[in-house]
Amino acid sequence: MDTILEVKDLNKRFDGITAVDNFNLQIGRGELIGLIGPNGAGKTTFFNLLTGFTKPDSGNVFLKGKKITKLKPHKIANLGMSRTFQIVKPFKRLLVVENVAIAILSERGKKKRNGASVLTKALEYLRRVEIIPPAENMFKLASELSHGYSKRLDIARALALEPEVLLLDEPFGGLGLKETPIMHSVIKKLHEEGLTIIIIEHKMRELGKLAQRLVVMNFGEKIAEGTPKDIAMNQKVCEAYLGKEVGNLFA
Amino acid sequence: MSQYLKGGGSVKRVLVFASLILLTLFPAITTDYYVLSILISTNIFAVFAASWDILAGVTGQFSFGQALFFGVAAYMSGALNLYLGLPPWLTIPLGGAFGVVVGFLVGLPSLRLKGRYFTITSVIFPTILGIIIVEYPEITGGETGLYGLSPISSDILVTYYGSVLLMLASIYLLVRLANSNLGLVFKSIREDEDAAEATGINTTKYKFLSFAISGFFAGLAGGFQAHLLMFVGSYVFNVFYSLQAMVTAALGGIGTIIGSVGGSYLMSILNEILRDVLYFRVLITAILMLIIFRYFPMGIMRKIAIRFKISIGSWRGLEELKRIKDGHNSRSQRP
Repeated sequence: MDTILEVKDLNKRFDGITAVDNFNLQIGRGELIGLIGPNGAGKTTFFNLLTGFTKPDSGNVFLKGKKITKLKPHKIANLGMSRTFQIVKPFKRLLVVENVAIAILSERGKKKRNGASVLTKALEYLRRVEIIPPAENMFKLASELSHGYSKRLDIARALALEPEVLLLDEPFGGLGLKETPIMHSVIKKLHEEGLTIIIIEHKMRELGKLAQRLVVMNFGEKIAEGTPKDIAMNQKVCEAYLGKEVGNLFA
Repeated sequence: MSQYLKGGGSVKRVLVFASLILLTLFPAITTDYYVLSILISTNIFAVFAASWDILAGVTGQFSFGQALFFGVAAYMSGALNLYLGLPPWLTIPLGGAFGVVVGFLVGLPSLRLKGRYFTITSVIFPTILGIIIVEYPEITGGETGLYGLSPISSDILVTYYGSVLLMLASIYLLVRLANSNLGLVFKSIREDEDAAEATGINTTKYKFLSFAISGFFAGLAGGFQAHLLMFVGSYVFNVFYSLQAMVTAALGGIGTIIGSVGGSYLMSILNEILRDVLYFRVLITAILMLIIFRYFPMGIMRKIAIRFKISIGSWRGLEELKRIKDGHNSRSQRP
């Protein structure tokens, strides 16, 4: 396996509460990994540790073999790992196209532009996440977008950094019946294009269809790892989800 | 559709042209010393307010300490003029340069402090410096300040046109900056600093840059004012000065830059109308401002812009967007 992201013995505690406990993970280039676990399991903290928003107490993160532990978020983004947030963070008073343009104006965005204009590139990313068409969307303020479009705008902005690893924090969260299949097709296409993706998600049915491998967290620990089918049968996972039949979660 | 793209280019051109004509020909209407002095101060305050706007309105660093840049530059210009005999045309830009240095220094706490915590801290700097200044009378003139600075010119008309030039050049550059790629990056920090970092933006670097730019223009205004009054005292560090810059920018429309010009003229008109009521002036001004902020929270200039469908504060790339949109629409109409 051509390892693109490696996490070694990562630890983080907040005032006596262990958020991430001795976490180890290896991710191969082009993989699509699902990160699941009950609320408060430490999934978002893990994303924050990977992307530099939270500093770990100990342990290391390597991106393409380069140690990125404790680097600032913008440096990690410019090295090729970008992310979205659980609660969408659009630049509300800026236009949709301006939101994406900012990523293209970043250090990495500039390098990857290959002489194309900022706008041409921005529109390309907006098309890839199906925000346009309709063309009117690019003229809207980000605050005028529906929740589903805002979620995809977050992805477009992360994508505009031309990342090698994309972290998606609950991309299906709050999406309706109409928007869910669009998000599914967007993520599927990005993966098919060869992008390495890690997804935190509670909607197991969607994740089960997309992920090749699931990693399960509980109380900051990795309690299981395997294919969606393996995880559905795992006793530890079953207990973590309050004794539910985990198999049903994917139904 | 966003208000940003409603254009109004011809109306805008007419308004800008009419304003330029009025500013240029105003001395033909009157050469009254008092009136011209008011206009000169108004122009300087427009620059000062715009310097706050690029930092707070555009970059989102809501500082209460803008008087620091203004005051340090005023003192530096005064000292360079008084002790080294440098002429105002040199001491004013040097004052701006000192504003840049102070901007970097004040930018330091913004690395650690965000939002309201930074805002509270920003008040402290000018207050402390105002106290320190008084403690070193041999350099700063102490409580009496620095007297006998060279005037900009012995001719009030030259001073007037100097202030017009300073204001037009500063506002033009700041508007260009706010609408540039760099301005767009500044705005991303204003909107959400974490999201900007996640988007690969070195927010620390750009905040520093915004502080430096803001410090430069506030410094130019401070230096000009020192030579205009031929005096500078520790009053320049008073929080009232910072508040005045904020209120002026807010009256015009925070984040628009050009609003500072409208806000500054509005403030001057208010001050003059209420000049005879002396002690009630501040009270009446405050009430009027409350009314304006209640009914025009986005500022007078932005309100006018919306009324006449004039775009202000648009990223310069949007013109290309319009062309692309037209092309896109014609493509998407194909079967």
